[in-house]
Amino acid sequence: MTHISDFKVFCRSLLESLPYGVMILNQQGLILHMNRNMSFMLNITEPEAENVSFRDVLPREISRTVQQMVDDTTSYGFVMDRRISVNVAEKAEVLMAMSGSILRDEEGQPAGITLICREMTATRELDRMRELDKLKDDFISSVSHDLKNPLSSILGFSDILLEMAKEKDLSEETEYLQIIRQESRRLSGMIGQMLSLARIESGMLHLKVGKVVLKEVVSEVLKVLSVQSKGKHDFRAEMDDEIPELWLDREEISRVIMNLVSNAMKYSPEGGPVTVRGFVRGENVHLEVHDKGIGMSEETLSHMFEKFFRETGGEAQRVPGTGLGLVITKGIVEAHGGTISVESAVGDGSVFSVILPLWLRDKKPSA
Amino acid sequence: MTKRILIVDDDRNIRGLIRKVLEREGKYEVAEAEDGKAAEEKLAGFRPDLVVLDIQMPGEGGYETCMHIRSLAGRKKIKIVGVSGVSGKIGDAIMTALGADYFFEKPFNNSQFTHKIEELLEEVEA
Ligand SMILES: Nc1ncnc2c1ncn2[C@@H]1O[C@H](COP(=O)(O)OP(=O)(O)OP(=O)(O)O)[C@@H](O)[C@H]1O
Ligand SMILES: [Mg+2]
Repeated sequence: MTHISDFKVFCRSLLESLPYGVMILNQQGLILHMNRNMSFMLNITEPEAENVSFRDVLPREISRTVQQMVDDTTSYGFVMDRRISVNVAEKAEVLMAMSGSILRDEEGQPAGITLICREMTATRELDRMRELDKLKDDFISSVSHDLKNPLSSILGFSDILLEMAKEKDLSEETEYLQIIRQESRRLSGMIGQMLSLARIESGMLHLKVGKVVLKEVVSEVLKVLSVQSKGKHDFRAEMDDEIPELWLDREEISRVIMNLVSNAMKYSPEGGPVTVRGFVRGENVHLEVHDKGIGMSEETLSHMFEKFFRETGGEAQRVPGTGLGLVITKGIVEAHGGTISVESAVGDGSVFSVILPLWLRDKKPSA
Repeated sequence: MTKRILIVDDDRNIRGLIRKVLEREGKYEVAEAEDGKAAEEKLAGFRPDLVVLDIQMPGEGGYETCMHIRSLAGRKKIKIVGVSGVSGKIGDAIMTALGADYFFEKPFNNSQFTHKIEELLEEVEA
């Protein structure tokens, strides 16, 4: 950077040096910037296609795809690797993957959309993506239908049987039926987790936002979990009254808090304090979950947000889990425009911090 | 008068479950259909006050059936309750847009289900 003193020049040269096509649009669809790779990939001949609408410079069918990308990015916050094909003049059709995300200004308000395009000539990658794509579709729809139906029958009928057994005072039957019901609820929870993950990964996590009082959600979650903990843990909520109502998906944010607090509980097997702290700092709302449990090694810290990662060898291995909780948590937090981080040391407990931007006070995420 | 409920689901066990749950209430007349086509054929004869409608069914699915029922000109409005494994938020949004009165994601809770049905049927004039 030593020779580039002007930050603008630096940014431009950075964009030009990327091996991807990059196009930045404002909210009206005007092209704010497009690097040369992008003009080449989309077959645009205009030398300086800036400050014009993409609708005026792109070939009709690409324009349609870009419009779709813009719409989907606006409503979901981001779009991952949508495949598009472009007929570049006489050349055969070229397959590309396009991703989109929201561009925000200093106040965190949506200011436009960044589209990134990469060519997928490498057939290996293409095949892999096709495979993944198929898996994703099949997975979400078949899990929904083929697993939830039998599970509904098991849960529903065991509930009825349980009522019948209770009416007839059959204590042994009641006990076994309670186990069936409890375990099928657990199974149902796991399936729910897998589906959440699949939705997050395919960019299909639809946020249903409304005004949420975080303090209420925290106390609801703590109420549920303190029943589960059976008095072993000391749950505390220290939520600042300064925290404004935020536009959030209540159900998803509740899942975030539920995942973090149940980890805090699970990974302090000896019991101890679990504290949820909420406050406003600068332009953000902080939500922290503190525990005095087993803590995490450097190794665990560097992998904990990976799918199906679970610590092996340590104390954590004895605690049951699927290793999806944190991946989902992170996905939900990011879909709201927030971030998540951790501080921890073995034997010293952990602190998970969720940071949500204060602009969620007045604005819906990604709207 | 006894209220009539039509259960539409391709899964026989789910139909059996919903029938059992409703019959335990002791005040409904229940009929079943295994897909959208069969449901539409039963409408005129059975004249349900409420239809419990699955979404993913082979052949004609729940969305189409929902639209069909809403397109019928009738003297009274049939209540529609969607029940599906489709994600709650998506199912709810689509079914509401198509004119359904309520949506349950599978697996649903028996007593919440019967409460809602009762509530909806109270709105139907006898
Ligand atoms: N509060 C905590 N203290 C110590 N270790 C933790 C804590 N939270 C998470 N971990 C570590 O990170 C790993 C991943 O956590 P994650 O919540 O994603 O999965 P899980 O708890 O194993 O399973 P589940 O999907 O059921 O939540 C855990 O297996 C554990 O090793
Ligand atoms: Mg967990």
